[in-house]
Amino acid sequence: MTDHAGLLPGTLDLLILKAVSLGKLHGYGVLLRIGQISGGALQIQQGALYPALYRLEHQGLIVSEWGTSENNRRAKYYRLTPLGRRRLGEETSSWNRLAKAIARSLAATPQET
Amino acid sequence: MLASVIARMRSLWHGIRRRPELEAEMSEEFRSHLELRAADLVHSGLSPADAQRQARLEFGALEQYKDQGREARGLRRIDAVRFSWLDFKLGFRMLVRYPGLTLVGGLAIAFGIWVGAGVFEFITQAVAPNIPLSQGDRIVTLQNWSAAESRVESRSLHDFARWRSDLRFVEEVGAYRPLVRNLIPAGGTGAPVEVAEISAVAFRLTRVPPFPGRTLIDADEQVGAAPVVVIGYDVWQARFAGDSNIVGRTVRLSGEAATVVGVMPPGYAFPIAHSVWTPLRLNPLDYQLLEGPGIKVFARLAPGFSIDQAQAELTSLGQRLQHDLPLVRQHLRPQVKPYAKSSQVGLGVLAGAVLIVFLGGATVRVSPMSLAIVAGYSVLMMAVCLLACIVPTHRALRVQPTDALRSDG
Repeated sequence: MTDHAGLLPGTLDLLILKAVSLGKLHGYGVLLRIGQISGGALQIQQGALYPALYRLEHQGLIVSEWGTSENNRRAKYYRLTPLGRRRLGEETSSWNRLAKAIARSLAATPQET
Repeated sequence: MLASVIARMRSLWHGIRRRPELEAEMSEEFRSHLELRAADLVHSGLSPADAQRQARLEFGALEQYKDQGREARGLRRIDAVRFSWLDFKLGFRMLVRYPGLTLVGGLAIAFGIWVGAGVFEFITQAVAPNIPLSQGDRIVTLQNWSAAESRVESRSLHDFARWRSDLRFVEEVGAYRPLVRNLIPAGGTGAPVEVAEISAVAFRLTRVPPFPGRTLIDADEQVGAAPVVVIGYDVWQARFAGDSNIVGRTVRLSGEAATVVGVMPPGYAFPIAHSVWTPLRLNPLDYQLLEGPGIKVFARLAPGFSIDQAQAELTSLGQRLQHDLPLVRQHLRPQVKPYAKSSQVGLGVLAGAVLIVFLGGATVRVSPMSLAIVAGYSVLMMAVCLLACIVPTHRALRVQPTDALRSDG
């Protein structure tokens, strides 16, 4: 059995916001950061990251600027905006409530019903 | 919420304005990603060639993600309405390739425009009639409404004289009475024509110069002045074969000789649909109050004054006149109305609009503005039709072959 898990719909945006909240990152760096903070458990199709980044930028949740990567190549870096930070807080609270509710539901026993 | 909307609008505007740069940046960003990933794979032990191949495989379909990227930025909807010269060329080539279809389609569209423009013009003139003259909306009708008989009291020669001398909120006050006369050119045969016996001021009010000759002038209205007549362009063409020496010729109007002093240009038909004009020489002193021939009075609102102000002034004058003769005038209510909305004129303009559309240019003289409206409407409709042809073609050309195959599967 593998430790890898697919993403639930809608969670990629949340993970990207979390990743860039820890510091500005280029696209590939976002992938690495998500892999790092999830312990390598979450698999993301690499190309699929970019439409999500553009969508978040379009919504004003992140902004981008060109810079130089660690291997001295030109790369586009993303960072969180105040609007994105607020959205991250809201989405995190919402996710935690949902996760708790599901965990509680799944832990239910016949005696509790 | 507002910040998000502003951000989206800004992003969209940025995408539209700097589209080529945006596409280039997207390509560069993908390339940078692949290089970074390939470098990591090389560090993990793969050869450079294998690392690049592996990086591409892991990334997935570049073009597909670019397309999703455009959609994420809201640019797909903009692309759907963006046209190129190629779209137009392909559209015209298809029209040339199928001439029969083009002809039938063109005739169908023309018929649709014809009917549509007619209905449009009919409704426009019914709802908000206007006469095609300079500042035509400031031309008004002055009339006495008989409250006792619920009709317009047209025997108002005495009032016309007072209105012309006393009113300040309207100017160029004139009157006319319609007649049918037998017009007989010298050496020709007679035929009935619609004649307007009209104040000379009418030609100053309508601001249309003659073509050629002159219009009626105030001196023509004086008793004893030489009888003169101004004819319309259509009469000039039909009855005098466009005689270039028409000015100065003598004609007979129901037996009375009159000298032609001018020809009005094509389309001129003031006050309603008239084509021959003679001076109005009615003298109020020849008639008792509320007796004599019926006339219709017109005027132009003085600059800076509204129709409500003119009505107030007319009402005030009417009250003064009523004070002098209360029994005779108590049932009269003087009114100011937009000229285009007075009953006969309104019907004339409406009928003219319909005739213009359904009988061609024969009645252009009633409302040339209608032609402009119809032409504008036609151009608009043709543009819509052209777009209706181009949009599906354009979209069909933009379908990715992979998407098309996927849909078919």
